[in-house]
Amino acid sequence: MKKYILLLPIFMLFISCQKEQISISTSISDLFYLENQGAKMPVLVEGNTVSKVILIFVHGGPGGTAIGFNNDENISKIVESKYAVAYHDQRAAGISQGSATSKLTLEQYADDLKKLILVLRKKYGADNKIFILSHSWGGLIAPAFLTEGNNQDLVSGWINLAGAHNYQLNDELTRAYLLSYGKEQIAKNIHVAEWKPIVEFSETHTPDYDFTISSQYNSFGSSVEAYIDDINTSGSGGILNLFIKKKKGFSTFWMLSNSGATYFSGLTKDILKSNYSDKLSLIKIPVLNMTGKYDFTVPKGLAEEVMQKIGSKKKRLIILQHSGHILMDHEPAIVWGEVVKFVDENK
Amino acid sequence: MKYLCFLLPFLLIIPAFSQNDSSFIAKNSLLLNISPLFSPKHFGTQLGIAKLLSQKEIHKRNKKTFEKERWLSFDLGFYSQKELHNSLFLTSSYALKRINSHGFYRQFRPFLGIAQTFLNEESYSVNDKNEVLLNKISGNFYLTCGFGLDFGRHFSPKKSKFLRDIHAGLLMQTYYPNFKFIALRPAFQIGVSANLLTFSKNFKKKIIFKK
Repeated sequence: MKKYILLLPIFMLFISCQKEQISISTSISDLFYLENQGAKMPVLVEGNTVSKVILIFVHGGPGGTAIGFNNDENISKIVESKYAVAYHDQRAAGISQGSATSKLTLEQYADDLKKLILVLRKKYGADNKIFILSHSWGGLIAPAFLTEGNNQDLVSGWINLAGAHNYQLNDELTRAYLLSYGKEQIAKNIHVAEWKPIVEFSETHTPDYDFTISSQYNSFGSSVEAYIDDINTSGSGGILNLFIKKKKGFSTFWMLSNSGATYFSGLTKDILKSNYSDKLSLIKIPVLNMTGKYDFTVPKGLAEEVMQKIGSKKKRLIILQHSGHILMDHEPAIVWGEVVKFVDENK
Repeated sequence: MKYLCFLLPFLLIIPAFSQNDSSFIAKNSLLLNISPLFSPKHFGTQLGIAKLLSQKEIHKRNKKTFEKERWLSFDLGFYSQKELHNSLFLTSSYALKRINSHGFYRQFRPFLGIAQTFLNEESYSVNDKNEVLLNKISGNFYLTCGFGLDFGRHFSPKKSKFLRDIHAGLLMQTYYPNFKFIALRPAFQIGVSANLLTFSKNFKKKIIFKK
């Protein structure tokens, strides 16, 4: 009996030992982990690696998941058939695992992104063209990464979907949009009972790097989308995907635990003062900005500022007419079609 | 005096709950537990030894109504969750078991222990020279705690000398620290307990007679 108990750890080590597997195919599905500064983060590479183009999905949140939430049938059909997509679940997100020493700071997230690019280049070839595809909070990590040292040399382009590059400006714009659109809706007698408390709050609360106020605006930003009929909601199912569909490299309980870890880490308070507006001029690579007309969470004014201040010569802004914050879900055909077009032009 | 007056109503109530207790030396047991663990995404097994700490039989109107038992156990377990990790854990639990007169029982089993996980997918890291390295072994050490909620069928030693019970339930395991927070690992558990050893040293079985 004793002998078998002693053999158990050896068995565990044996089945946990790693061998490198490299897949170059038109339809791959590789799952591996990136280990950096106390965090072990899953990366799911799916699609066409023969193309020598990899788009890194830098998800929203913080504490969201690219593997669980962003890897849906629309991106698979439109983007992965042509290029490869690396769904990267950040530290304290998805099924990433970490020790007590692992830091949750914006700089650390940007460093993780750099390390991921180096791993992808090593694993799939240094001749691969890497594109950053960021959404929401990912749009804060992206400029943090791109404006650091020579990091831009590692990538061929940045696709910025409803990115929040300046937190304070984000809150100010959310407030302004809620006020103007809310008053308009009340005047038209549409969802008056719902809009009234939102407008009252916005009239009395000015964003001032205050976490409670910022969280409230964030919460209003997502809840008001339910009162706008013009938003196309016939997408892939959104957040329900997390609970209904069985996905590779994803565990709902582990993701919820990580969301808790992010919430209690204080990261969401620390990033209130994050502002890359003045550093946007340093970014010279091609940029595609896409945002929803009805996005109150990260309003279109942020994408407009990126267009104004970015140093890139090749830049484009697309405002989707029937989208809120999760534009990939509201108008997937347009979003992924434009992404493919942008990569085609800049690879 | 004032306090005694205050206590008097309570002292008068006590006889209403009067019970006759009797204790005698009974045979103790050391059990071997084997419990497969599973969920839609993982499987594993837990193997442990459990010792009976106390046993109370509650009788009403000269009839045994239920039995309460307290068990201390030490378990070694492992599970493998594809794409997440393999885990090896050592825990100690204190079980509170209530068995009805038909032999069916429910059990609440809080536990505490340690766990070592091993990633079961490729893992890469980058060193200070920006060189990419494939990690041979990668994992985390955690403190683990949680509880089990079991329902089962108890077999008396008279009926079955070897098999003591079969049970099924939920095992809620948490890991700490996962990014300075906890990570939840729920699983279903089915298991059997077998009689490993029977002895009578330093053990009192208590029988409580309620009116």
